[in-house]
Amino acid sequence: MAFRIRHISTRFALLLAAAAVVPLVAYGAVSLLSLQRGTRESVVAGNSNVATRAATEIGRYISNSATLLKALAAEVQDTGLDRVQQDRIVKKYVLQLHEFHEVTMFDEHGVPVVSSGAGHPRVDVPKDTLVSFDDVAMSPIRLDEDQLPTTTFAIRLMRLNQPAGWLVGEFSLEEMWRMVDQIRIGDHGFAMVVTPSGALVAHGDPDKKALVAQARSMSANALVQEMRGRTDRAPVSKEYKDEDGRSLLGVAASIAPLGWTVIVEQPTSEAYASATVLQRQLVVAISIALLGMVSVGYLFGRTFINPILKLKRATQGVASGQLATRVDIQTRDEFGDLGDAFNTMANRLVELQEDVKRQERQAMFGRVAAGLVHDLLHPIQNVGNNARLLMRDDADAEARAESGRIVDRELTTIKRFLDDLHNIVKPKPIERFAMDVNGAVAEIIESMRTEGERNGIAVEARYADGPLVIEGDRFALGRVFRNLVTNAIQATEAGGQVTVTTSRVGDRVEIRVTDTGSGIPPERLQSIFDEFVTTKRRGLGLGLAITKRIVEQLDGTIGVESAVGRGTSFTMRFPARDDRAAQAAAS
Amino acid sequence: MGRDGRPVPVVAESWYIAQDGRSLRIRLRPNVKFHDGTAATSAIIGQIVQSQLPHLLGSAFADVEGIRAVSETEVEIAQKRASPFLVESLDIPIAKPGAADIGTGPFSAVRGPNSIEMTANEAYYQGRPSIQRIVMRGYPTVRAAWADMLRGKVDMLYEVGLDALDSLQGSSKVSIYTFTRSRPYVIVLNMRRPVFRSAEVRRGLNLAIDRPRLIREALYNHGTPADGPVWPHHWAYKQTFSAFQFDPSSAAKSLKGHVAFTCIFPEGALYERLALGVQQALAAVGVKMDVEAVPLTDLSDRVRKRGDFDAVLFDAQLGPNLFRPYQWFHSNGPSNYGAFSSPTVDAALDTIRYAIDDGEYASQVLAFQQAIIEDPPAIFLAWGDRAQAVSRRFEVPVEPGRDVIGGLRLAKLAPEQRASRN
Repeated sequence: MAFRIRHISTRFALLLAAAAVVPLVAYGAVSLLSLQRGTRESVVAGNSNVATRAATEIGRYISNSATLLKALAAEVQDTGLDRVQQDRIVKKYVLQLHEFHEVTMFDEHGVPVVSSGAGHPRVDVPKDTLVSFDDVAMSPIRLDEDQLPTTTFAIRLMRLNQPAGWLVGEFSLEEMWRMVDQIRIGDHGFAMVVTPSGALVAHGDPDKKALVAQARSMSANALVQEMRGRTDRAPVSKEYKDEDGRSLLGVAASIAPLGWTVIVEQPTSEAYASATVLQRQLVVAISIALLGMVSVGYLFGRTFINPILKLKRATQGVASGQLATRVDIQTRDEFGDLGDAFNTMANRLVELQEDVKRQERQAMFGRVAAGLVHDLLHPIQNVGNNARLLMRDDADAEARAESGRIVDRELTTIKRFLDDLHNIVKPKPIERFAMDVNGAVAEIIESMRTEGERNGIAVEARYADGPLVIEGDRFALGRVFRNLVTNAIQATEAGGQVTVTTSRVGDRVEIRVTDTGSGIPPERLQSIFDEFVTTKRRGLGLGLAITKRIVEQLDGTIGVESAVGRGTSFTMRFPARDDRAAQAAAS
Repeated sequence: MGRDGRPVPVVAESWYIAQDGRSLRIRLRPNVKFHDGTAATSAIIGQIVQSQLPHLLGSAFADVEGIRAVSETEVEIAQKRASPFLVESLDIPIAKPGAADIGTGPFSAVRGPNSIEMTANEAYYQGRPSIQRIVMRGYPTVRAAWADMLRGKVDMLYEVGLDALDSLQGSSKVSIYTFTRSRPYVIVLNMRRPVFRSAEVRRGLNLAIDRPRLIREALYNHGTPADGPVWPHHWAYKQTFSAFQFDPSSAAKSLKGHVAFTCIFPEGALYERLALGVQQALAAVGVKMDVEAVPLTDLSDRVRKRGDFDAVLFDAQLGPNLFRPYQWFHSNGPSNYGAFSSPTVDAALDTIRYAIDDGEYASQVLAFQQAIIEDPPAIFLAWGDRAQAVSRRFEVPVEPGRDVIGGLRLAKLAPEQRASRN
């Protein structure tokens, strides 16, 4: 089923919305894409900067620590200090600087001679070197007795250009943690430090330090793998998921002298939070703009069609008979002209209606007058003629009697005519009694047969078997049957036939009056039961109106079927009374 | 004892001191039982007090006339002379006679080769603990224990290394509790050594210490300078004078550059840093202090039994009341390992010992503080902070400034942990 929009205002709203939607949506889509791309680039650049700076700082911290140890070596070697003085300097150094857990000086044979610790030294002369910082060798990361990662720095001591032992310091990686802890991005972005072998040596997230203590390998980390194969120093970024399924944005930077990697991780939800907010704001702004467009379109449409709506209401008013309805359209455009034309038209309609009423009244008066003349002239003439015959002396008794009967009959006719008029003005009340329809019909047929014969028309009746009892008014129904039979006789040419048939149809009693007359045109059938409507050239047209009223007062129905040139059939139906009491009363 | 040095009831429900102060009647809680189910009657409690008081009071025990159970739930301690130290000394562990591990606390303990297993005492008089079992394990170093907590192998650390505190502070999995201990770090000087016989030398040693710096370097800023043996939170403590301010020039004059001794201390990074810090400070005023880390058992043997030391660095139980300093620094105190003897200090402590009311007690605390400054028996360093860590799997109601151990009885699984178990 096709979708149809009935209201112009809605069409206007949708039209404006459609006109706005396409550019707005296009603008929004382009903006969102640009925003996402720009934000990502910006965040990655910012995080890369942090990672690079962190890598520089960590590298510098370790390098500075090596320098400090070298300075200590310069202070204790080849300066003429005795062991006590050297011991004091070493202890002071470790106490004041937290970079080293312990510093111990070994002689050329590897025997400890001075140590910052009070007991047996925990460190030994390193056997292998990861990297050297200006003569300070840093050993690879190993696990200490507490199973925590550690490393040592060692300096070859010289005396008179001859090897004179080692100064070895146990580097405090935990102290480096403090620096890593301070590298934060947002609320949930942290840094971690990973060796080339994947060993995690520091993690800024307090909850992830356990990974360091657990000697967790980070070899599977996407960034660690990426960094492993690279030769350049440029930061690398990636988005990946962690063990908890969180989406992370990671940026890795290399700690230059060590080959270690600083990875700065931040949940993407936080990293792109500003973009998400902007996206949401953009969507809201577009939605508001769209809504505004629709509202403006709707209001404009309403304003535009308001005169049309006024005209529509006025037209409906006039159509419903309220000819006094006028429109008030003050616009100086075509709608204003249309309103004026409508009001002019309405004024003219009122005038025409008055004319029609006047003509109708005149026609009605003429018709009533003609009907009165037609219906009363003949009886009155008959009465007059026969009255004159009665007054003549030469009239014999038989003629007098005949004239007296004619006068009575014509007076009866006049009285009936006047009764009809009176009945129209003031209907008689119906008195209901159980009655046999066959009997009532028979009486009428009997009385009308002579009339029919006088016009050369056979008036016959076909009765159903047995009594057909209804609750009716014998006098009123007699009038009904007489009206219908009289009409039938009048509508039928000589040689024709009028038949009254009674029958039982279900719980109804049916009486059908059929003639073989001229028939009624279809266009007049609709109004045939209206007052003052007749198919005859003369007469008031009250008979069928009275007939219908009586039938309906007796809870009956009346209908008509007619074919022009073939005849007409009136059918009445009344509720049958089958109870014994009614049957008995009717009999 | 409460944090302010006032006694608080534990096994005792209440106590009553007679008008003349010579009789202390203690009413015990009625439903206290030992872990083996036997009732902790007044007779047994009296027996326990009787066995421990002589060691705690030392010569002051002479004041005690007798200890007896006067009813099923009451113990009466009669004194020849009224002393507030009697009540203060009753902060003693309750262990069933003849069975050191059977007490009345919320947990019963079973010692294993490497751990102590504590099980909830179903009949504990203050209600059964929520935690059914606690395993206490020792570690060679504080750092090793901390590493295990990071690994999630440990739910609580009795001591977190102060240098590692920062690493746990922001954790969502661990709660950190810190409190100042009533055991200051002190270097007790052995008066048997001629070098320490001069009060001026001992004053000079105290003036040579820059305590804030020592706290910053050795305790990572977690501590309070100790200006004497009186617990700063004690109700009678008054800081009405500036004691032992860092004054290296006065110290140097007092020491005259001829002082040399060896300081022993228990093995451990914190003690080592403290010892090195003091060594450095004293060296600056011409004092040669050698340091020697000693295993705890050896240290106890050398200090308590043999008196074989020049100076010993450790955390001495000097708070939270005045009875503790009496034990350490009265010439007849049972813990006077340094053989310290000062008539002025003794007089002040004896007056406190027999103080008839809070006014006299407080005034003599002040006199004692002044006497200590004039004639110090030790180098007072710092009231150190103790940091403890508890996994957030547990909720431990800890009174601010108190040991987490005291809240273990009321510890329970955190709601989300309970939900995950259901």
